[in-house]
Formats: sequence, C-alpha cells, structure tokens
Amino acid sequence: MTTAAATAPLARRKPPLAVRRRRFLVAVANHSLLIAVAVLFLAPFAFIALTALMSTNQALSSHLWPQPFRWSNFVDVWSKAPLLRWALNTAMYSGLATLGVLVSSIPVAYALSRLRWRGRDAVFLVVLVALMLPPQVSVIPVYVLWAKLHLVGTLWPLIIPSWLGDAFSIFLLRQFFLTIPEEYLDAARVDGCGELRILTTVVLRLAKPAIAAVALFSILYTFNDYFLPLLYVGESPHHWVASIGLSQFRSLHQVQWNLTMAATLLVMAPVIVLFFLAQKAFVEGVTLTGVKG
Amino acid sequence: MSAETGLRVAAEPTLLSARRRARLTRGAAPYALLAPATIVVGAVLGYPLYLLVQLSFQKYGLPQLLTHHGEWTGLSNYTRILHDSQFWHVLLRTVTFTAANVSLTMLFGTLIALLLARLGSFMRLLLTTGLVLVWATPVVVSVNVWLWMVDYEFGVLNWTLTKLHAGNFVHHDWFANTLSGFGVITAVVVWGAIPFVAITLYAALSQVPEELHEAARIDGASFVQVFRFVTMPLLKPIFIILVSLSIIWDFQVFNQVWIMRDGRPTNDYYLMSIYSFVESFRVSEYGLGSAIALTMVLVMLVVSFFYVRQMVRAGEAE
Repeated sequence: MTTAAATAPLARRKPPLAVRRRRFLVAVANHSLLIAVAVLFLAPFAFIALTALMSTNQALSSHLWPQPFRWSNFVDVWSKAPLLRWALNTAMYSGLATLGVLVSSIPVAYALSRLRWRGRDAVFLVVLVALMLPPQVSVIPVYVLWAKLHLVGTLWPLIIPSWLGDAFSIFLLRQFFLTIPEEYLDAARVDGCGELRILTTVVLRLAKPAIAAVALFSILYTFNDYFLPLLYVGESPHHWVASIGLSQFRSLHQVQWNLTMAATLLVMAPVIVLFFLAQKAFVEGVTLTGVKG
Repeated sequence: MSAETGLRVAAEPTLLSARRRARLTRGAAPYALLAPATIVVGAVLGYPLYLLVQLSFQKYGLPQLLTHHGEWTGLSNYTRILHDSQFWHVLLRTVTFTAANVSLTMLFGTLIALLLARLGSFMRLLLTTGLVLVWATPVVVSVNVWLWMVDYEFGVLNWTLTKLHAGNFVHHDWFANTLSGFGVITAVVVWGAIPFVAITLYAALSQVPEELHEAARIDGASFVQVFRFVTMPLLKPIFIILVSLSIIWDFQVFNQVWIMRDGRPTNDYYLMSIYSFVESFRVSEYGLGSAIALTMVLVMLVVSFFYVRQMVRAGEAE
C-alpha cells in the first residue's frame, strides 16, 4: 500500500477543520457548563463539611480549609442539644408514617389499577385532584379537628393521616401496577387465589421497585418535613423532630457556625446514607412519576 | 403433564376466570379495597374543604377553639382582608415571587436537561447524582448552609465579592433590603427545585426519537430551531405538568422564608402562606386565616387554569 492510498481515505473521512474546531468548542462549552453547574450544586455541601471541621474562631476567619481538623465538634454537638431525642422522635414519625402509607395505599392502588368496578375512574380523578390541591386547604380545619381531640402537641396528628392513604403514593403505585402483565394475575386466579391473596403474593413481589420508591419518598418527605412538625409540636420541645431542632440550634448558637454545620451534617447523614444505598430506586422513582403516563 | 392436557387445562379456566372476575367485580371485594380511598375522599379532602369554607365565615379565635363552636359573622372576614392594604401587598408580592421562581426554575431546569442529554454517560451519571442529592437535601439543611454563605459578617459570599472587587461587601446584610433578601430566598428555592424539573425533563427528552432531530438538522435547522420546533412541541404535555406543579409549589413557599427569618418574619417578608399561618396560629384568628387560605387557593387555581388553557390553545393554533 502506498502512502498516498493510505492517507486519501483518511483525509476524506476526517471532517473539515472548521467543523472539527466547532465540535471541539462545543465539547469545551458543554463541559465547562457541566463544571459550573456541578460547582453551583455541590459547593454548599463542601461548605457544610469544611466548616463542620473548623474551630469556632477559624470558621469566622477567611480561611476555607480547616486547620487543624477538629473532629471533636461532632462530639461537642451531642452535649449542646438533645440530638438523640430528636433522632428518636424523627424515627418514630418517619417509621410509623411510612408504614401507614404503604399499608393504606397499596390496596387502593391495586383496586384502581387491576380491578374493574363502577366509579373507579371517578375515584382516580379524586386522587389526582388531591394530588394537585394545595395543603393550605386542609391545614387550618384539620388543626381545629386535632385540637378538638386534644392531640395538638403530640406526634399523632403527623402520623395518623398517612394511615388513611396518600394521594402521591397511590398515583405512583397505580402507574406501576398497570405495567404488570394481566397473565400473571390470571394464572393466580386460575389457581384459585382471591384478589387479596393475588395482591400479597403476586403483585407485591412484582412491584418491589415501585414499593421501594414509595417508601423512600415517604421516609424522605417525613424526614424533611418542617411545616407540620412546626405546627403541631413546635411549642413542645419534648416532641421536636430533627428539622425543628436543627433550625432552633442555629438560632441559639448564632456565631458558632462550626457547631451548627456539624449538627447540620449529622442531620443530613441519614439522608446521604439512604441516598447512596438506594440511589437506583431514587432515580427510578423520580422517572416513574414523570414519564410512564 | 403432557402438552395436550396442559392445553385443555389452560383453556377451561380462562372461561372460568372470566366468569369469576365478572362476579368479583359485582361482589364486595373491590369495595372493601376501596374503603381507604373513600376515606381519602371524604375525610381527607371533602370534609376539610367544607370546614375551611365554614371557618372562613366565622369568628374563630382562642375561646372558640376551646369551646369548639365558631361564631357566625357572615362575610366580615372577607371584607376585612379585602379592605386591608397589607393583604393586597402580600398578594402582589406572592404573585411576583411565584412568577420569578417558576421562570428561573423552568429556565435552568430546561438548560440542565438539555446539557444532560448532550453529555457522555459517565458525566451524566455524575451530574444526575449531584442533582438528586440536592433534591433529597432537607430544607432546613439547605437554608442553614445558604444563611452561612450569605452571613453578613463572616459569609463566604461577601468575602468573595469583596475579593473580586465587585464592590465593598464587608458587613453587607443581604436581608436589610427586602428585594435582596428575597433574592437569597429565591436562590434557595430555585436551587432546591431545579433537580426535579431537570431530571423529569431529561427523562422526557430521552424518549424523543433521535431521527426527528436528525431530519430537522439535515433540513438545515439550527440548535435553537430544533429545540423550538421539534423538541418543544413534543415535550409540551410534560412541560405543562411541570409548570403547573411549580406554580402550585412556589405559590405556597413557607419553610424557606420562615426558617431564614428565624420564625419571626417582619411584614415585608410575608407571603400568602406566611400571612395565613400567622393570622391563624400566631394571632389565633382561625376564621381570618381560613379566609386568606381560601383566597390563596382560588388565586392559585385561576392562575394554573389560565396557564394550562393558554398552553393548550397555543398548541391548537400551531
């Protein structure tokens, strides 16, 4: 093979210089944009971590890197605030509410997707409306109801409603149940299963990803919830959950930003751990709500 | 079991199961499973709405909360808020705030979704991870760290701006001025809202067949034209949903303002949700608070309705 023959097809395949230069510039633009976006979204987390490891004085100086690393902040925080109590209260709220959401929403989602009955579409419409309706509609009247029952100041007004079904979870589960092939259910019916048994043995097993996503969303929602705890237990520190406690912690320790950030990091830790353990379910869950219509 | 008997067995129960399904449909099972939904409809939705309307026509203060009986006062709650200049200020502020937040969220969300679609799979995974992490961050955490960054004495933002010679930002209090205060609040809200919009839009984008883009490009369409005439019309349904959801969410922003102002926001930081909360749960005027909440819901519904209608009409005209 001569050199001319070897270079000719190569030269022909190579796009002209202008195109190559434009492609290179586009790639540079894309990646610099990516870096800018990533910095914008992740810088705050870096600040939490770095400040949490500084001494109080250093946090108030212009140095960005902790010197030396003060790991004792994470110990000190426990004596400054009843973190353990907040953690227990949060676990109770989050755990019981999530259990309630699952127990109450799964049967409804099943009835709305795999059974045919009169008024089904109407009920589904109501679920959709409930999804769209702002919480402002119910906050005041429901508060008055709980006041009647003398339960304001406890965690029960936060937990009990989730045992009555949750519109978002019902919607998400229904969308997923619809994708289960009818043949599986028919096979179970052939074998003499009742609808309840089909639900618990067949559907629950097939819908694991969706159920995991719903549980994740519920845990996350209750963990991040600030408004309802403020409303119902804001005045009774004994029942404070982490979100309320953390906002109070900052108000109390105004200039001790290192301790505030250490507490912030501790509160965030479960979310981060959960997030990395279940990252796939997270992303799937987010996509599930949007695309599968 | 031979294949023959297997077939027969399979054929018979199909009939049977169809009959059984028909019977079940008329039977009690669906209604038993439906019971929780009925409670959703009745107790969680209808009854509170009824109570809210009822409360808004009553004087319902602390004495009424203790005796559980409101005092009917007709339209007085409504005449009171409609004649209160503060109500109109708060309403205007909330609408402006919502418009700014929804536009910024949608703009940056769309740009990041487009960026995601153009990146390689590794970079995309990295960015998605960052986005979902932000999305999962508790609002108290994000408010804390943003407050720390904009702290007037020791915050990194003032320090950086001064270093960059953007002006003298030493001891600049971002909350001294309501406009820049709301700027910070908007930053926190938009920062937290972008991930959901970006990821949902990216997921929708990835469903658009590549051939359509290619065809448009071959016909000589620029990047902007491809987006405007190919991507946008296909994404319109999901866009409508996202904008409506954003309007609903941003119209009722409460936590960010409340925590940033340490649970004691001054009048100029009132949004509708805060106004209603303070009137009900701090001043203990539950009737008045209900009237504000109901007005707020109505405004929200009207805004989203007009928006959706506008979008649908624009779609028909094309």
